[in-house]
Amino acid sequence: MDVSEYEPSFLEVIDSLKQRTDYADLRWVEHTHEYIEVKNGEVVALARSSDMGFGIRVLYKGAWGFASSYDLTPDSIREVADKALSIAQASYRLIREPVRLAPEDVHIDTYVNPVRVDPFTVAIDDKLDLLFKVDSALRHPHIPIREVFMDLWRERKLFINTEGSKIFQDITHTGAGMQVTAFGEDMQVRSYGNFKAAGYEYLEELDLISHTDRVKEEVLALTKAPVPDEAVKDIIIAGDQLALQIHESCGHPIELDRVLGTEASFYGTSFLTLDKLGKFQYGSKHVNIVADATHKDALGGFGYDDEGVKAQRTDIVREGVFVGYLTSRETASILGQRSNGAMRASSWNRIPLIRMTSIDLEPGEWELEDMIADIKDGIYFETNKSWSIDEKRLNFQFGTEIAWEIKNGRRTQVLRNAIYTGITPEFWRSCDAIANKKYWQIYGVPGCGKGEPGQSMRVSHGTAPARFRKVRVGYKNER
Amino acid sequence: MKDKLFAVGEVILNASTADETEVLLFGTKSQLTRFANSVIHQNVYEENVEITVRAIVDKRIGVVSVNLSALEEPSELAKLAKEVAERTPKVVDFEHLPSPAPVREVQSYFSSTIEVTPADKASVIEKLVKRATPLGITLSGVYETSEIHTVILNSNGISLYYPGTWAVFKVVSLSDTSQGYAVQCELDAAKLEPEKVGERSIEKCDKGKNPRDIEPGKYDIVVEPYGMAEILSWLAWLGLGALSVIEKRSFLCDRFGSQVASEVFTLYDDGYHPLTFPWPFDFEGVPKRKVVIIENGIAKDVVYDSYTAKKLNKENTGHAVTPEASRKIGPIPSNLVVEPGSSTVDELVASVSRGLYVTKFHYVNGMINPREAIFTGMTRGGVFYIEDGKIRYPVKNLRFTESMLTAFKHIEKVGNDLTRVGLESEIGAYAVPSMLIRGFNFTGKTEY
Repeated sequence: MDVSEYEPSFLEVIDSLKQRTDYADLRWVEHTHEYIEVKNGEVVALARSSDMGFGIRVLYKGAWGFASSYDLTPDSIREVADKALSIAQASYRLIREPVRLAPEDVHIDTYVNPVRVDPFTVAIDDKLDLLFKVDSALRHPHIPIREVFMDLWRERKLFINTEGSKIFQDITHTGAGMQVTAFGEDMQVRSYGNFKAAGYEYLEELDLISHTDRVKEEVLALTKAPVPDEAVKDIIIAGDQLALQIHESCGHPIELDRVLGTEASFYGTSFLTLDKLGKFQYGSKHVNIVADATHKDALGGFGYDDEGVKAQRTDIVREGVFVGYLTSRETASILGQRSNGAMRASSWNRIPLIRMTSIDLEPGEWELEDMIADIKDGIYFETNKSWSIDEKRLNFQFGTEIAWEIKNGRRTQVLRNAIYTGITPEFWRSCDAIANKKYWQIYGVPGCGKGEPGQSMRVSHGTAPARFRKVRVGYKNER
Repeated sequence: MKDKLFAVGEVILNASTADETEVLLFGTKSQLTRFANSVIHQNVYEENVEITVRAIVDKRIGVVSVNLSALEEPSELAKLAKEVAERTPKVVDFEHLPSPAPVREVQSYFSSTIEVTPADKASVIEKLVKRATPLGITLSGVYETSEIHTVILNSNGISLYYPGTWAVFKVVSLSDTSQGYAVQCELDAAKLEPEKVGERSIEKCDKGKNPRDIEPGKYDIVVEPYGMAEILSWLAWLGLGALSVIEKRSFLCDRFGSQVASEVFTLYDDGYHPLTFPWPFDFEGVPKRKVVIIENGIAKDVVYDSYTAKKLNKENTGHAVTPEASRKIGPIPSNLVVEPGSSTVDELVASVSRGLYVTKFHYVNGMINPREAIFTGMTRGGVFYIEDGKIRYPVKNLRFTESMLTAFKHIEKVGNDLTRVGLESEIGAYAVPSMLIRGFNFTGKTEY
């Protein structure tokens, strides 16, 4: 579809709203998605989908309204604009302070992420060949479930606002992975995979085949492994698990809309209240966290957010001190700042919310082996399996697919159903080592949930393995 | 909406040259008002038409989805689904798409629901804010009204239409130290009692101010329907569908015919139950059957779709999910009902000498050990200490880590307060009462 055929109608309604509102913007979005999954040698999903529509957001006397539709006829576009305005007028009945937007430059631009091979032009046969090869390599008499998938996604969107910005973006993501399941005393899984803002060429880099033997060996080891007892231990968290740790215990609590209470009815609020900005000891001096939307190859990277604010890299935690939130134009104005560009909507029919970009833990100086060598009695946790955190993002508990006991500075036996738990700032303050940039990589998280109606967002986290002292592992349950 | 969906669906079906073809269409309109800090901060409207085509060519299956604006030419969609099928290996176990069967009438569409305006919603919220503000309480929540129209057509003659409406009013009240949660879900918005919902939430928040510290450990709990529904939702995904049994992932594997819960606990799925979101057929157009899953604590059965029923030589119970996901996740029960008991909530509380009254759970996760149904999660929305059969004082939130197989064996009493609880991430609802569970395992605490 070519968006240019709708542009005259879009420009007309934005022009008309300019006269009737404080501010308005319009987003046209087209999504294309292909998901293929092979399970035990059979194709259990080969689904292609495409979806298109537009949404109009208006600010009337300081109150928001939003309406959207799949119907792109000129009459419908005008009706949706009127509906958004009438909804804003209803909102106006119950506002305390009118919304003010932080200033933003006018941008007329196009952003396209680097793609060498358009994944939607690759023949289905070639895609299936790859998945079948991986599936075949995962075969083993004691592994009853093998799953291999490929996930290809494209978003094309046009943003126009009453301030004169007009931005077109074309973003492609490619992901793939595998999971095997085996049974011992209980069910065990082991997986490998990742997502990147890239084309089909990413599958070469991901090199699923080269991980099949390891994944098989590890799941079989898990079926015979012990469960760790409840204890307090020194632990190392591998990069892929640390990505989720950052996501839940840093990424969500720094969303300023959440801090200000607008997510209270669903996912909750945040312990990182406004009084903590610039002075709260979030972690140890080793902990430096940034929000970086400028990665061209990460799921959290883009050219502009859905308010037309240019992608930025901003400090969140510097030497352990909490120094920044993710913001929007509305919330940044409350802090007297300009937006750092974190407003995104999952599609045309959703209003933008503050969403994570790429929330990255900066690498340290350590070699991983040296980090392990310093532990007398500990556990190494890798790849998330279970996740839970309270609504203010303080008490968390995570379980991983696999863990290893560390005894006298060496990784020893495999452990199954391993969990660790803690309180966010206590946990990050116990971080005393982060591996160096050789170990640092970006992990894509394609399904971050927030909002009502629900929105699933694509975000990412750059991490390297890190060490934490005196963390509670396992749990007690005696009857 | 109905005529539009049939018109588009029939063009696609007639244009298909596949051996068999199925067209599934959803038309939705939804208006949602969201408030926080006692002001409306999000007020949104959307409408959409989504179409999914499943084409079968010599036991090969192709699935393609679009929304109406991305559909340039309906006949092209039929062609594309067939092309996808032709490139896919055969699914040996696949036989045919289902054939027509009688579907019972059930009313889930109420025009009163779609007549609620954003201004009506603002008025309701405004009144409650006036009630909460003097108590130092701010209100958050949603007021959603939606309609969904489903059409299923297939080349074997299935031609079904089902419209439904949905109204949800949820209030989360917040003071500096406490939270109160209450929600009501109705198909007919005229039955919503928003002021009562708000009152309940505000009262719980007010009574929950200045909660005391409490140590983790084993406590008898009286848990409201909202909390139990969250647990049941995870159980449904993990192990109440036939594919999870075929793949031996289900916690019910090797336990059918055995005691998996206490004798007072009976769980079934009933697509026609008025306190769920009644939906008379599944996404293959097969009429839903009532399935008893756990009866008096004994594991009986799970739910099936056409593929898993054939594979296990069972009757199809009409629980297929959408075609994109059906072979991946298999059938799922979406109208779970817990058989209510005879106790009032006060009687449940009166049976506890030392325990907790739990409103709701938060961020439940069942992936620690799915075969043993070991779950973790936090309490939320108001937790109170019970002593000698009476609610004494509010306490801070706790984390539980517990096998639901163990917990369900310790359900001592089931309440008589059967309540419709809407699923938080999709349109759908379970009918669940409060319950008394002995010795529930709390493993951690938080700061509020």
